Amino acid sequence: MRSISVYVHIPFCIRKCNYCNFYSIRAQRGTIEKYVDAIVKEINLRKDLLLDRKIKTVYVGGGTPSLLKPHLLEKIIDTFYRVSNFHKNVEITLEVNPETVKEENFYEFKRMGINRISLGAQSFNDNSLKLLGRVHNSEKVKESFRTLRELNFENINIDIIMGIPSEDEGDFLRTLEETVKLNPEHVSVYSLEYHKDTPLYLDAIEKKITPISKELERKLYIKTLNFLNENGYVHYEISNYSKLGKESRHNLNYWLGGEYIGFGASGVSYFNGIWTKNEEIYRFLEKINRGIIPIRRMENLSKDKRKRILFILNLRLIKGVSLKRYRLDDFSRDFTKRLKTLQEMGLIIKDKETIRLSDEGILLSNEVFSHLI
Amino acid sequence: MNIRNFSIIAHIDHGKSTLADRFLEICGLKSPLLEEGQALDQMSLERERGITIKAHPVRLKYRARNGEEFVFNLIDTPGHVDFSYEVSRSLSACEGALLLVDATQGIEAQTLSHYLLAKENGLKVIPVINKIDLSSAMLDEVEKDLINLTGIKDVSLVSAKTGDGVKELLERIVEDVPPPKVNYKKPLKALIFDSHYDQYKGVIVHVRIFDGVIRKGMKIMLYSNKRVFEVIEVGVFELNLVPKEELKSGEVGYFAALIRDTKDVNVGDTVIEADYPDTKPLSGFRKMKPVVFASIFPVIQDNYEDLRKAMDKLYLNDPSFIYEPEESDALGSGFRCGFLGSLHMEIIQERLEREYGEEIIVTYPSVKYRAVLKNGDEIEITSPSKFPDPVKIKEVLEPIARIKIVTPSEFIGNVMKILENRRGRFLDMKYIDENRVILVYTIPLSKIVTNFFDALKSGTRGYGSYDYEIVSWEKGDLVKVSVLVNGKTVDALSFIAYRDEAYRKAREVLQKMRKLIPRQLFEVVLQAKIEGKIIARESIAPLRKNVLQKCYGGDVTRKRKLLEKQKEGKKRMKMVGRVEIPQEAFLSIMKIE
Repeated sequence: MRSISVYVHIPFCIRKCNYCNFYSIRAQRGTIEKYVDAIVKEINLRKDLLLDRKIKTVYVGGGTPSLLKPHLLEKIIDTFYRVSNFHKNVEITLEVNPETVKEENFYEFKRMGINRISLGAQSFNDNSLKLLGRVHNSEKVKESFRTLRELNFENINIDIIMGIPSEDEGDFLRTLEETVKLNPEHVSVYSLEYHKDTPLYLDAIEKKITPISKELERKLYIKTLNFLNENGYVHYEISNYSKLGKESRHNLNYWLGGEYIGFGASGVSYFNGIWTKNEEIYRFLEKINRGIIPIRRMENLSKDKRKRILFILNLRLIKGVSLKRYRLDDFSRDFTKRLKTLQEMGLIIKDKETIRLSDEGILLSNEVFSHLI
Repeated sequence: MNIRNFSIIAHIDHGKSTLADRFLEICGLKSPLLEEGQALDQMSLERERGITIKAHPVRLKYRARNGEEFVFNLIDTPGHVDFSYEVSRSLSACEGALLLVDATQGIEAQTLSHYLLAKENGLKVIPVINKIDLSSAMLDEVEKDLINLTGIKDVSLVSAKTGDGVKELLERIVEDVPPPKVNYKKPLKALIFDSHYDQYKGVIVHVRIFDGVIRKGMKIMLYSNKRVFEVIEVGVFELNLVPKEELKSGEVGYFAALIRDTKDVNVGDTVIEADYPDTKPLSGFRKMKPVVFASIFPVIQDNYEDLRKAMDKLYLNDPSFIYEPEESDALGSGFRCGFLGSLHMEIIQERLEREYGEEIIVTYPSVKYRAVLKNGDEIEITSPSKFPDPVKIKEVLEPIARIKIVTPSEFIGNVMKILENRRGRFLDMKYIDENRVILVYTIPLSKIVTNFFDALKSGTRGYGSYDYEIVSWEKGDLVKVSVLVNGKTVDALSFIAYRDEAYRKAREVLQKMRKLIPRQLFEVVLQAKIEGKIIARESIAPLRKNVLQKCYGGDVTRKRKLLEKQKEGKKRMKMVGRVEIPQEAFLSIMKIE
């Protein structure tokens, strides 16, 4: 039986963070219940996609999905059980805001099968957390991590943000140290981005804050890599590190071009070579209530384009693209020419079996990808 | 038929088009365009700039006060220094000219030059002052100047805007402008003063018939190239083309003869009957020669074919601009183009961009130089890439212009400074009246093809005007400055300069480029070189980090679009080796004085 991954989007937050440009709404009484019902309906509407498939990973992301009352999340998980089959080693991840960690809820989450947690710590510097507009402080992060461990969550990721203005190299190193002290199985490190129309972006424009230089960013990136390596984490994707065998299987599926179905508002799917994206929340609810599959757009790209995209996704993995999976002869001449140029520039490395980013190529991966797309 | 052929000589903004509109109205020709004003200026570009680029004739029926009906052929003339030859040809199709001067501005340099052209062509000139309704009108002074200039005591006063004096002016045209000399019996002899292209009929040739008749079915010959065509249509210009049986001696109109190649039709040429090949041509014909050269490249190389088609089409309506394919290491395939002047260059550039939607890069304009080599050969240099090896050069000659500038006397100091900064040499200064002077200088042509117009305008608060002609070739200490990007010469950024200015210019160009070229994956070194020696250097530090973040919930599309946007951005840049150079960097060189 072929396997598949599913993603569930929960667009509710306690409050929006200053750097976030994703669509989310304040959690309100009743709305969340209606939304969860809609997701259940959507799963039923689209169940033929899951029929004869084994679900190998489930990822509940947001927003802040840990805001969900346990019985609501259970409704969703149960629906998947009912319409499909779970792989015996299924990975079920819940994205968690430290502020929402309450023992009784997480006891329930654990019981219903959640076996991986992605904890949005972002920083262990309280000034930085304030600047980012996070609702928790660093103490709360540690406390919630301990709670999760006490509940026997054995696969935890910690998200941290690099390059927060006002932080110097030392501040960031302390965040890394605090992270490692907690000994999570997985660490994701993202650079702070300034998205248009976010409070942070406006502050930067008004010069209330100064984004860090590219030079410092580079330095921090290399520092992170070395520090996490020394502490037993393998760098396996541009922004992701894990202990051996603890890679995010859900994300690996994205990078390796596997199929997935995204449920909920703005959920994205890749199935049968086609990417689709769901409607945003209000139209999503409206379509679901009318019994219509809530797809907003569908992309049937040319074969060449699709191959390029899958190749680029795969190239995000540090071990690179297997030339057995992707035969270069199948690509257009333009593409192989571009690969060659990048190779000559020392940004990618090609050997018999793989093509991968060089160290410099990792730092400039966006340039590499935009060259190849 | 009572015919009066005339044109209006005026400076930009002196109200020529408004006056023409008023004539149209009085003669019962109305067009929807009149609502917007200025029916004769068809191109949007012309309307925006308030100048007429192409001569555009119109035929009017005017019933005079004596009851007789007259046919007026008004031949509109271009109002800019680059188009003097077209003006002169338009004028020679007429018997009279209105010398139109703005009451608030007075006589300008080009008006003066065009007036002299009209005199040369033996035209009857009627001095006219426009805008008499404005409170700032300096009627007495302007009238005095006009009388001084033309020796004609009777100056017509009009307001094209309100219509005051316009009917009287039409009467005066009937009285003063002589009717054309007609001779129907002789074989055809007609002057080409303009043309445009029609998809179905080929070139529509605008002609003034001097002798004989032209009619459908007739075989005609274009004198300068002896090419023979059969006429398929003749007609006259109203607001649209109106076909007629024939055009006779004295008339102005058009004919079509399925002429597919616009190069065959040259302004100033004579049309004769193919059966009478010995007919003597009208005098004064010369081929228009471009004086300013620049290269045009498509921003995206894939659009080369598109650009070529756009140029072909543009050329059909403006054969005075020339172009030939050019290959550049840096910019790929493009065209080396010749223009009548720098304004003409700007017009072509804007028309390609606006009318044809082409995205183009225009390189630094250059004049035509001549190099005399040690072996005695002489070559023309229309592009820095054709600049010969310095060791082979005996001397380089450059075109020198005689420039006439009319300015209010308070700005004499500014104007002299502008000219002297540009290596101008003083020849003469004359007061037109107490307040205005004509300055005459010689100046290297290269010094007036870039930014000169703007400099003059800002130095004279917009009042200065100029006119020039090329008078000689002189020896100049000129060198070619090559610009190198990571060791590779970029011909599109190279330029020819005076040796003593080359160093400063080179540095300025490099500094500007340094700011405009984005960081790349590697260090970029910019260098400028003269005669094998590096004279300036700048460098751009490499890009340090560019990492795209996680893919939220598998939203590949979002990321793909970001990457594609980045790729698109790169496409707009030109690759020189591996260095991506944005358009602006090529344009930066234009701003260097």
